[in-house]
Amino acid sequence: MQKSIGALLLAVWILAALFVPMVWPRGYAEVDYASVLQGPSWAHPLGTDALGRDLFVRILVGARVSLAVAALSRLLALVLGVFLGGWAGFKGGVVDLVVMRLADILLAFPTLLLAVALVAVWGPSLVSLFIAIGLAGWAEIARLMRAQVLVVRGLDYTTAAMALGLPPRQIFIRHIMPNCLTPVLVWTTTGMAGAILAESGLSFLGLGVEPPLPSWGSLVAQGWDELSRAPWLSFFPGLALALTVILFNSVGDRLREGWDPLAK
Amino acid sequence: MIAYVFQRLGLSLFVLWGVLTLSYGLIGLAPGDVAESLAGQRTDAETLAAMREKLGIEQDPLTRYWLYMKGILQGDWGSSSRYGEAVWPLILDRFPKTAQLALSAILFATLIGMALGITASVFQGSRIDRLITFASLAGISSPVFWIGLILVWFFSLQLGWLPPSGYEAGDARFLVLPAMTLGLRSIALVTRISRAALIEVSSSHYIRTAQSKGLSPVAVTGKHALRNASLPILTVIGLDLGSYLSGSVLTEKVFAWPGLGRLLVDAILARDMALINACVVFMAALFIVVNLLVDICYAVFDPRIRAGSG
Repeated sequence: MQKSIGALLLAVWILAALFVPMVWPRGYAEVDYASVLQGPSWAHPLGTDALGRDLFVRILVGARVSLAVAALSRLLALVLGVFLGGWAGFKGGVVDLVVMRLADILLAFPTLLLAVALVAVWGPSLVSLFIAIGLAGWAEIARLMRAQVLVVRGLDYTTAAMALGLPPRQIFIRHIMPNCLTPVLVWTTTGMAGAILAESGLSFLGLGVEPPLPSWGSLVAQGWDELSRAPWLSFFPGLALALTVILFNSVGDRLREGWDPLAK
Repeated sequence: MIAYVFQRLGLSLFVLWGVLTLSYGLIGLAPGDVAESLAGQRTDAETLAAMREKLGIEQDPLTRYWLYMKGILQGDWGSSSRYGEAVWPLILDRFPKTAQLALSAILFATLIGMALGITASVFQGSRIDRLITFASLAGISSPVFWIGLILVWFFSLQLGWLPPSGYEAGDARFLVLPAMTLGLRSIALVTRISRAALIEVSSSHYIRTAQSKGLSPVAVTGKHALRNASLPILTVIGLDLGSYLSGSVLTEKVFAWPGLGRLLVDAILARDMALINACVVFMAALFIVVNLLVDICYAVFDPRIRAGSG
């Protein structure tokens, strides 16, 4: 695989998800009882569902939902992970103990089930979905961040900053954090694939977005009922999902190679 | 070594307590009347009041938590509001079904994954290697429920060979598709890891020594390379087994498999508090035990770690 072809395809795909539904002749919630459960055709490239809605545009709108939830949840995990993990590594002592044991607890808590529990508590919506997936993801980032901080804290320029008598907060934000971020950011990007899969799993279980708004997981679940009559209804959304995750994984692998010489 | 295991077990108890508290707190946050959801919807005011009394709802949250924890320490985990039974028999009834599925999936994944990984590493850089590498990337990236659906469509609806879903004790035909579905991601992971580990090992001196003293390629890979590449492979298999043993919600849902994952999801949807807490603690305990076993296996497989852990 060429070096940047994955990233390029990903960019094309995201742009398509953003802009094609705007110009597509059919809306994602537009019901048409005259063309129910049709196979792929010129008018409907990927066929129609049980309500005659166009699957192609529904998959593209579903891409927006899935990608937005995944990206926001990674952002939440990143912020929590960087600050909690960084704080633990920098302060040490009791703070370190408490934060890292909290991370242990979360890592022992089954990820999908944490999300299921949170969504069940707050009701299914885009917001609870992204918060749930984000909360499930911060512990790994915090561990990595803490390990990085422990390394950087012992380096000469940190000692110099301390010797100059700079306030701890400034040392942490100005000197330590920027030097820890590269692997953490790479790890966060790599986690996009997992976040997309988590979102689709929750949507598949019916804990995701409210209909008629589509997401890849809920599209596959809806197609399930028509599996014998219209297998494409489940097949294409799942394929879109798998291809997107493949792209994110291969881009993530490339990024990791750049940072970690051991990754092959 | 033994001191290390005990230290880990002590820490595990703390983590289990945290998991239980987290679970308790999460459900406590949910809007609605706990007594009502525990007693069921059609109850008269008297039963409800008795239930509140029993739960100590009138007390402040901390006292309630304290009473709950005291009950747990005395072995009283409460009974499921949905099934009206004690929680542990329910869990222990589901667990063998989940274990059966998890072990079949892992066995299947280990055999195929290692075979593919070894093949790819032996033919490193060739077309076969690239094909296997891409297939494993696709395997890691595909959602389980989608794989399950394709398998059901093909093997059940088109060919009619296997039942699409369900469970019957002693009938292995019901096990094939769920085990394949669940195992596929692990095949992909095991393939990737074993390929990477074998390639890394193959550049080390002892492999060159083994080759130059004229051992056959099979002996070099089988006896020298594989043994040294086994740690990362073991880690992946162990961690996946750990997560499958706590029930795979999606696979169980797709195939209507009566395992732990579905028990928990149904319990969450029904706000069945006692059952949720017990399930979550049971799963976390499994996760911890499997992690610990993996670490102990490290020491068994690699004497250097045994020396290091002290």
